[in-house]
Amino acid sequence: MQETAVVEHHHLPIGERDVKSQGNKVLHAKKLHKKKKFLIFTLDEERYAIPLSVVKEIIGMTDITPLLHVPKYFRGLINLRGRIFSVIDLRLKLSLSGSVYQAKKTSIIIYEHDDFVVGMIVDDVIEVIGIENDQITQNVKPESIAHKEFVDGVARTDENTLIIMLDVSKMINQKEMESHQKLSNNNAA
Amino acid sequence: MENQDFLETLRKTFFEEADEILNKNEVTLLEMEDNRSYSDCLDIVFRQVHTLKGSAKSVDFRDFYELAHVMENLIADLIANTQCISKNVIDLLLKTNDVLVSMIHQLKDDTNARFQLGDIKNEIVNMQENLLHTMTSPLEVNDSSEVDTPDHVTYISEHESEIESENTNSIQQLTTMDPNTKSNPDSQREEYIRLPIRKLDSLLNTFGEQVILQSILEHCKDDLTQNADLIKKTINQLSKITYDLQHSTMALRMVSVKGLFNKVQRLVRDTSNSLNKDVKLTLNGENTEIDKSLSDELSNAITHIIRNAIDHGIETAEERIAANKSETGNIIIDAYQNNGFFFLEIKDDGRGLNKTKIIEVALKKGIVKQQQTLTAQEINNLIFKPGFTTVTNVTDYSGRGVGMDAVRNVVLEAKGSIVVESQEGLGTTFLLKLPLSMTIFNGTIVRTESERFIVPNADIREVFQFNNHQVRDMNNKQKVVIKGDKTIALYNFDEAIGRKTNKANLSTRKTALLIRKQDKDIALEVDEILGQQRIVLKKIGNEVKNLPGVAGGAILADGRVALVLNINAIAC
Repeated sequence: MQETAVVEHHHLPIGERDVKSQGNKVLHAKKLHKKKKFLIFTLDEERYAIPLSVVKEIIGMTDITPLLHVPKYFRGLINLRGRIFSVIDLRLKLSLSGSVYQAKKTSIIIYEHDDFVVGMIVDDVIEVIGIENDQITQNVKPESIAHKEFVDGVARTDENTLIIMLDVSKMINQKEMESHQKLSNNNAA
Repeated sequence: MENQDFLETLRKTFFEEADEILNKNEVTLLEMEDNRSYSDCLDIVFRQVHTLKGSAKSVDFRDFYELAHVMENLIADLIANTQCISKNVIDLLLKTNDVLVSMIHQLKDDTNARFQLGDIKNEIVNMQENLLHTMTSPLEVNDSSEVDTPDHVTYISEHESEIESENTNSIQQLTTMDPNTKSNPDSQREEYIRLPIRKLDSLLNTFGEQVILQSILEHCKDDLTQNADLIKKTINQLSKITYDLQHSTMALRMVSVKGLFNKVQRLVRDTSNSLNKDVKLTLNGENTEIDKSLSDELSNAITHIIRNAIDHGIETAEERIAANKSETGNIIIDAYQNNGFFFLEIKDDGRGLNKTKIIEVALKKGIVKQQQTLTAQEINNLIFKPGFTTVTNVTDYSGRGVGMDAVRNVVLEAKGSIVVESQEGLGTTFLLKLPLSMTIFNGTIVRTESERFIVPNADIREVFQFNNHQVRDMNNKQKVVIKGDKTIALYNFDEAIGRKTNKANLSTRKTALLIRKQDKDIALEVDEILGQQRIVLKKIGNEVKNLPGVAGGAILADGRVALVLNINAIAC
């Protein structure tokens, strides 16, 4: 019996603030004993997970203003209720092939890490589940991922599905951003 | 755990109280010196220190409590013997207050900080003993500077950029250290601001009006056609209210320049004392208001200008008498608002800028070439060039050559301007002009290829059209456009934002923005001007903050994001 949290609309505990708005999905989860909660989404039919604690909001695909002098996976800026967020394309970041965005499925997950609050484009958001530490095998990097440094390990659910654990701290690379800017500054000079 | 939280809350309140009290102390002590109203001022300071001492004890800041206690004792002695009060005594009180200020600064970062207070405590005790002796004898103004004593506070925050590490003079450190400036921009510390309640009430009123207009629209939506006129009218009113709301909310961030003025008073006092110059400071417009962040940024700039004025501008008493001037030098500061801008004039009646010396140094440093002819104003403006200084002796106070350049940058970053006027022998005036708000302004939306950018109207002098035959190629491949009788450097917008483009604009009639970038005019060619809009500059994340030429983002009327251009940072 898999203890999975169903997508429900409970209120999050006080420590996690959610931002409500019409037309946007905000996923909540039941507090699960001993298991850490993870948000599961898909890229190219494969399942990935990031800790729920870093997720701020999930929205559908929206207009993106592109930026110059940024890495290819950096898609641009969006307007979310008056605040501006940067958005990256997770497929491109992980060097999977880019794809056409599908209405109703393609989503943007807004997450926070350190001082960054950034959105990442994924194929589809599935659910929130609890995963225990002993379900996760570190240092097993699946073949499908070219850049193994973004992966934190692989989890195996009770139904024997594999989930790739993503390391959110590796998504935005400040040094890479800066080197792109330097390159273009040099070109411009 | 709850007790810890409670203590933290109490401590936050303590910090706010301390900031207010210590600031008031400094003002009162300076006042005391000017007006000689010893009893009243001492009473005020005594009560404040006493209150603060008690609070410090209750939030378990032991070191602070002890120093406050010692200070309280000294003041008590002084109240009983006001005839003992001399400039040295006031100096010591100011110094002790400074130490307390610096302790608060440290404690805000680390509530467990401990302090070495032996030296300052000794100084106070010594002072008390000296006073005991002079109690019955007439007051002697002790000229020997007791202020040149070794380090008292061994904790100086590493983030203070003004600390000159080779200089161990503690007064120097205490006066250059300014805990109120943003020394550590990355710290998570919360900043607070004091608000007059009337500002909040006014804001609430305006919100109330907006709610009413909102509900009118609610009713109107039942029948849009029939209510068309009322809807139009309400939308007009709403846009006025929204403008008012923006204004009122921005006004919440405004603080009066009194804070800056207090710092200046202290600075002038300390600097003129150390340099043995007699300076009279006149401050006008202390109730003028500016945005709090602007006040913080200007603080350093003003400090530098005034130090220069006292160090190099104002002559010694003898020189002044010989030049038929008043023995006391004058510094006059005027602060006022006009037309959406904040103006600050800093005037001194010293020896003025020496044009010959300026040219000499500029030649030596390669800032100008021999054959260049410069107007008087251009010569004066050379002081703003990086690395420029005519001072041969680098004093503790000025002459390091980084000052005026840095001052100018701070002003430019704030989208303002700085102008210097000077007459040799008569004096120098600096005029700073700063926009009241950096975040809300009118902007022009331009299109280049398929992207839209926003250029602040304040940067645009003119929008004009030109034909191909007005364009010339200069020797160095730089394109220029002839406009009337002027030749203006012409750039493609894409070039300006650092993007290579192979696009050729084939139309015969082209559009360009005439931009004033620092001290020269440039023309930026764009594909199309799309319109104008009131822009609210929005922060963009740390990950994109440093993109070239980008000041931030803004949301256009259609809900999409557009980048706002930072004229000072474009690539041309």
